[in-house]
Amino acid sequence: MSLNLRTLCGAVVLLFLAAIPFGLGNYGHYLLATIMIYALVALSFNVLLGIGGQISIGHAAFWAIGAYACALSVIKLGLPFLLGVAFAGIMAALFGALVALPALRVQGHYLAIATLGFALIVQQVLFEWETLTGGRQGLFVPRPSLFGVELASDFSYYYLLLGIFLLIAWITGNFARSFTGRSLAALRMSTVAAECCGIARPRHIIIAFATSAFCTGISGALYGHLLGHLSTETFSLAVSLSFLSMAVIGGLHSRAGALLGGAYLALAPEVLREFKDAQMVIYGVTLVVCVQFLPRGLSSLLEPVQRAFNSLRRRWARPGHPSFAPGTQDVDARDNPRIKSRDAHDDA
Amino acid sequence: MLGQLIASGLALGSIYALLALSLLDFEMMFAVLLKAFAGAILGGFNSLPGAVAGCLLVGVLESLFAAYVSTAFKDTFAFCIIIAVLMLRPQGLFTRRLEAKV
Repeated sequence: MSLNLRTLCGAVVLLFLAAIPFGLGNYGHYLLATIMIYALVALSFNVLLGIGGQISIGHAAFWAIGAYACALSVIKLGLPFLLGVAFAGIMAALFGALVALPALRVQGHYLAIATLGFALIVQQVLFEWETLTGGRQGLFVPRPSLFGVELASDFSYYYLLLGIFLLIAWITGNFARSFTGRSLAALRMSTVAAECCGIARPRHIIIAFATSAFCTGISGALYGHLLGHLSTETFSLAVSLSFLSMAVIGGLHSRAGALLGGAYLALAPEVLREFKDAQMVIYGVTLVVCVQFLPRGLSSLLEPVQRAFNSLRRRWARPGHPSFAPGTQDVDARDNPRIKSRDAHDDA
Repeated sequence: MLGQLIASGLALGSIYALLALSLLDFEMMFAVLLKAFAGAILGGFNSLPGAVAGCLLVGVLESLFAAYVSTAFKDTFAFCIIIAVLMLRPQGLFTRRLEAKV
């Protein structure tokens, strides 16, 4: 039996994601695109908070830096769209490395305040720097174009976003399993023990912040082109907070969780629009309920499915392969390296 | 300690509301809250006189900055202070260094 849960689920989810725009109208395509963009931000929190355990309430700043860097490089420097996106990611990563500097000295609440201060500073500077960013008038961003072809509709743009999301999800997944990723996880669980094993904390914290900012910057760049118009109000403190809550609600230790978190942030206002004035109240209550009953995020809803599938597969596999008998070998952990590492996350 | 803090926070809120009687808004205290936090960090979290001195320092420095450098970046300056203090002296100006247990 070479039926692998990850490949199968991946294929099903991919087919679903590729097919879903066909059933929706223009506004549906726009919403799908925003889901992908938010999911990229949630992935960046997977790296920073999920693996590294470093909090940030400043991600709207990286988002803004990415958005403005890409828009300005496309408009003023005439870079092609994809190069502009890469440039945005690199700019955001540089600022991420800068924000990591206070993180080398402080933790927890203090770090939250430092990143919050950074977000407010960036917003203020972008607002006042009128010659570059257009200040209060904002900045008009052209539609994205790929190798000379303009992606005029959100329908085609969605597929580009899906591709970029899969690419970044693949990269962050590999990052989590890399030497650097495991070192970061070790630092999160016990800084002293990890440092005693020879892991350099400063370098890893800077890498975590830079990687996370890189993903967020790319997301911001893509968002600017989706929106068509940038203004500094888009990147307020509230956005930073909703990013953080989205990532926690989706689940910090899985890429499916990132997607669910993105969907939550993009779709909740649409679903709740019916309730008019009670909207924010219901939104707040669902946040509390989610954290109370699903402390590991929406992605933990997927775990029973995974467990059922695993037990089913074990039953199929047993007759032909005696080595798969329970107790002799951990089938799940062998096929799915994430399961092994997930045990380690429980104490986080 | 926490109770006192909350009580003084609420008292401050009501005084502030009285002073700005013409306008009442649920987001009103937000800027004050952030600045107070900046002051508390500057002075050090585990010292009450330190927090008062820190807040005074933040307020005065901020106004001086607005007067002599730029009014637009007045708020920005307060947050630059926070970040600089967190990087250079995380325990605040007026407290002794805390030892962490391993």
